Amino acid sequence: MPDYTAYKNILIADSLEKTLADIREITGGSMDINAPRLTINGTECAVVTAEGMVSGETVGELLLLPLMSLNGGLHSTPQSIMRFCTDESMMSSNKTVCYTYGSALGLLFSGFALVFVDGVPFAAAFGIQGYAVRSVSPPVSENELLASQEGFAEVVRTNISLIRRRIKHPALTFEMIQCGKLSSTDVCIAYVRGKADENAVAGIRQRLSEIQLDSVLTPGYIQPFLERDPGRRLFSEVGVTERPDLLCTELIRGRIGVIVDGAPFALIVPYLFAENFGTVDDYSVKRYYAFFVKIMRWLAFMLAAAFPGIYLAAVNHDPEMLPLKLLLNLAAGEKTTLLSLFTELVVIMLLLEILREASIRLPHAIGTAMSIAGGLIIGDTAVKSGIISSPLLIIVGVTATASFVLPSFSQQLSVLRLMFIFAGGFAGFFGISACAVMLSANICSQSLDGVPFSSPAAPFNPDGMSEMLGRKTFRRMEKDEPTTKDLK
Amino acid sequence: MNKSEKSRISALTMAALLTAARLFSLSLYMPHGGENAAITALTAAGLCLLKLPIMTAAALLGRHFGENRAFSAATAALSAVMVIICTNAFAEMTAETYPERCTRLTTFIVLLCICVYVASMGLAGTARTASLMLAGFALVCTPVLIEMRGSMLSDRLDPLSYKPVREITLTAAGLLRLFPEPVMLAGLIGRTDGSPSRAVKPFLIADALVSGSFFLMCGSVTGRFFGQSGYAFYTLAGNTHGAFIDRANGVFMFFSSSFAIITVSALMMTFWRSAEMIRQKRPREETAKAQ
Repeated sequence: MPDYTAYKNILIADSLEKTLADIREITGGSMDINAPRLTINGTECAVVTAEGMVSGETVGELLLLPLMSLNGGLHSTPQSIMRFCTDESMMSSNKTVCYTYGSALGLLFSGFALVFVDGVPFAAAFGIQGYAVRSVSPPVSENELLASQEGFAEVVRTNISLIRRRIKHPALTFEMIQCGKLSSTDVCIAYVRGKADENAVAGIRQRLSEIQLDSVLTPGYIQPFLERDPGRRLFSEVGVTERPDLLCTELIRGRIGVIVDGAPFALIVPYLFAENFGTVDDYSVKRYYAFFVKIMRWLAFMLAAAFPGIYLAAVNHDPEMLPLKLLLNLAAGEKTTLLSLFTELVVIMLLLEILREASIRLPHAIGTAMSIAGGLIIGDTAVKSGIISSPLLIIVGVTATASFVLPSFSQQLSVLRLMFIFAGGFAGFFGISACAVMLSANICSQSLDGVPFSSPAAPFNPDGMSEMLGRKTFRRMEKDEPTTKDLK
Repeated sequence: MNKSEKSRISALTMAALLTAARLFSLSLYMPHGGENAAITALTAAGLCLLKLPIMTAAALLGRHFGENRAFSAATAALSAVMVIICTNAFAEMTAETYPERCTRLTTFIVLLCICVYVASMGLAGTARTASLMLAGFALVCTPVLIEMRGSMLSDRLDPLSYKPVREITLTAAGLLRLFPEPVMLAGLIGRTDGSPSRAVKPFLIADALVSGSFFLMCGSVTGRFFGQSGYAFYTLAGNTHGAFIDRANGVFMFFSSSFAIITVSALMMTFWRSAEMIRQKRPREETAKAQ
C-alpha cells in the first residue's frame, strides 16, 4: 500500500497544474474526484469536490456563481481572488483555509469543496455537504412512550445539533477528533464543563487519539479502548444509547458522550450497572410507578439470568423446597418426557437462542413465519412427542419474556443463563451460588475513572439508591447538582 | 491473581467482609451432644467481648507491621492454613448434606478454583460482593425466618446447666473452630481506609446480634434435640415452611456457599498480599545490606 501519510504534511503547491497533478497522484486518479476549472480575469482557478459528497446545486449557487461574477471586476490578481473567497464573501458559513494536502484532502472527503487559485499556495475550503443521509427518525431499540421520538442519525454533525438543541448552555462542549488510519472517522467528545471530570475527559481524548485501527466504522470499534480491562469483564462500563435525550440526561450528570460518525449510537462514559435499568420514561410517570417498574426490571434481570438454573437446582437437588402439589405436577410432566431435565433445558435454551438470533436479522415478513415455525410448530410438536415437558415451556416462556425487558443485556443474559443452567444442573444451589458470587465479584470489581460500576449499591451510597430503585422527586432534583464525583 | 489491583475498601465494607466470614462459620456450626442452645447463644454473644481485643490487636498489628517481612510471612502462612481449613470444612459439610451429589474432594477442588477466580477480581470486588450478599441474606432469609415463627416456642429454651463452665468452654471452642477473621483483618487492613475501629465495632455488634439470635432461633425450634441436630444452620432450614418455598434448604445452601466463597477468596487475597509484601520487601532489604 502506498504511503499516503507522507503527503499529509506536504504544502500545497503555488502552481494550479502542480496542485491538481499532486491531488491526482495522491488519490490514484480516483474517479470520484471532480476538478472543474474556470478562468477569472485571466487567472486559472479550480473547484475540487468529491462526487456525491457535495450538493451540485449548492456548488453552482454558492461557489461558481459568485466566482464567475468576478469576471470583469476589480479582482484581477490571484491573491485578490483568493481574498474574495476567504475574507470578502460568505459563500458558506463553514469555511476554512488549508495549507497542506493532508488537511485539504481530509476536508474534501468530509464533503467540503476546495477552491484553488493558480499562484496561491493554499486552498479555501467550503462546507457544502450534500451527501445522502438518513433523516432523524424514531429510535429502533429504545422505544419510549412519553419521551421524544427522535433518535440519533448517522451523521455526527446532525447528532451534535440534536444535543445542542436540548442543552442550550455554553458549558456544553464538543471536541472533534479523527480516528482510524484509513477511515479518518470523525469522533466527537461531548461533555458539560464544570460537571464532567476534566481528568476523565483528558483520558478519553488521549485513549481515542492513540487508537491505531485502520478503520472505525461503529462505536463498537472504540468501545474496548474506553473500557478498563475489557477482556475480563462481562459487562461494559461504557453505555450505548440511540436517544439524544438520554445522552443529555447523562451529560448533565457529568458523564462524557462519544459520538462516532456513521452510526446512530452514542457512547456514555462512565456508565453504571444500575443505569441499564433506567429509562427516560421513568421521569414522565408517577414516582411510585417508576419505583414499581424498576423493581420489575431488576426482577426480570434475575429471572432471565438464573430462573432456569434455579429451577433445575430445585427440582434435581433440593426437591423438598417445592410445595408438594407443585412437585407432583412437575413429576407427572417429567414422567412423559424422553430426556433428562438438564438435557431438555439445555436443548430448549439453545433453540431459543437460535430463534432469537434468526429473528434479529430477518425481514419482518419472514420473521413472523419464523416465529410460527419456531415457536408454535417446534414447541407444540416437541411437547406432544415427549421431547420436552409442558412445565419446561412455562420456564422458557418466562425466561424469554424477562430477557426482552432489558435488551441492552441480551448478550450477557444469553451466556449467563446457560452458565446458571450448567451450574445448577451439576452442583445445585452450590453451583448457583458460585455463579452468583463470580458474577457479582466481576461486576463489583469494575470501575472506570474511579467510578465503581456497582455504585450506588456497592459501595453503598444512600443518596443514589433512590435513583437505582426508582427515581428522585423533581423537588429533590431541583436541589441536587449531580456530578460523577458524587459516585467516587 | 491481578497484580495491578490496588483497590481499597472502606472500613464498613471490611466489616461486611468480616461479617460474611462469621456467617460462614455459623453456617458450619455443629453443636456437640447435649449442647444447650440458650447457653450457646449467650456464649456466642459473650465471645464478642473476647474477640474485641483480638480483633483490635490484629488490626493494629496489620496497620503497623503490615510491611514487615516476618509479619507478612506469618500472615501468609496463617492465611494459607485457614484457606485449607475453611475449604475442607465446607467440603465436609456438602459431602454430609448432599452425600449422593458431592464428594469431599470434588467440592474442595471446585471451591478452590472458584475462589481463585473471585480473588483475581480484587479486594474491592470481593468485599463489595460480601456487602451485597449480606443485604440479600437479610432480604431473603428474614421472611423465611419470620414464617418459621409458628415452629418457635420460647419454652424450649432453658438456660440452666449442670456443668456451665464445661459447657461454655466446649461451646466456645466449637464457635472458635473456624475463626478466620483476625487473619483476614491483619492482612487486609493495609488496604482499608478509615480507622480500624470502624471495621471492628460494627463487625462485633453484627456478630453478637446474629450469633445470639441464630442460636436462640435454633433452640426455640429444636429444644433439647439441639445437640443432636447436626449442622444447626441446615436444621433450621429444614424446619422452614413458607408460602412459596416449603423447605428453604436450597436458599440456606446458596448463602452458606456464597459466604464460603467470599471467606476463602478473602483469605486467598490475604495470602497473596502478604506474599507480595515479602517479595517487595526483599530488594529493599538486599539494597540496604549491600550499602
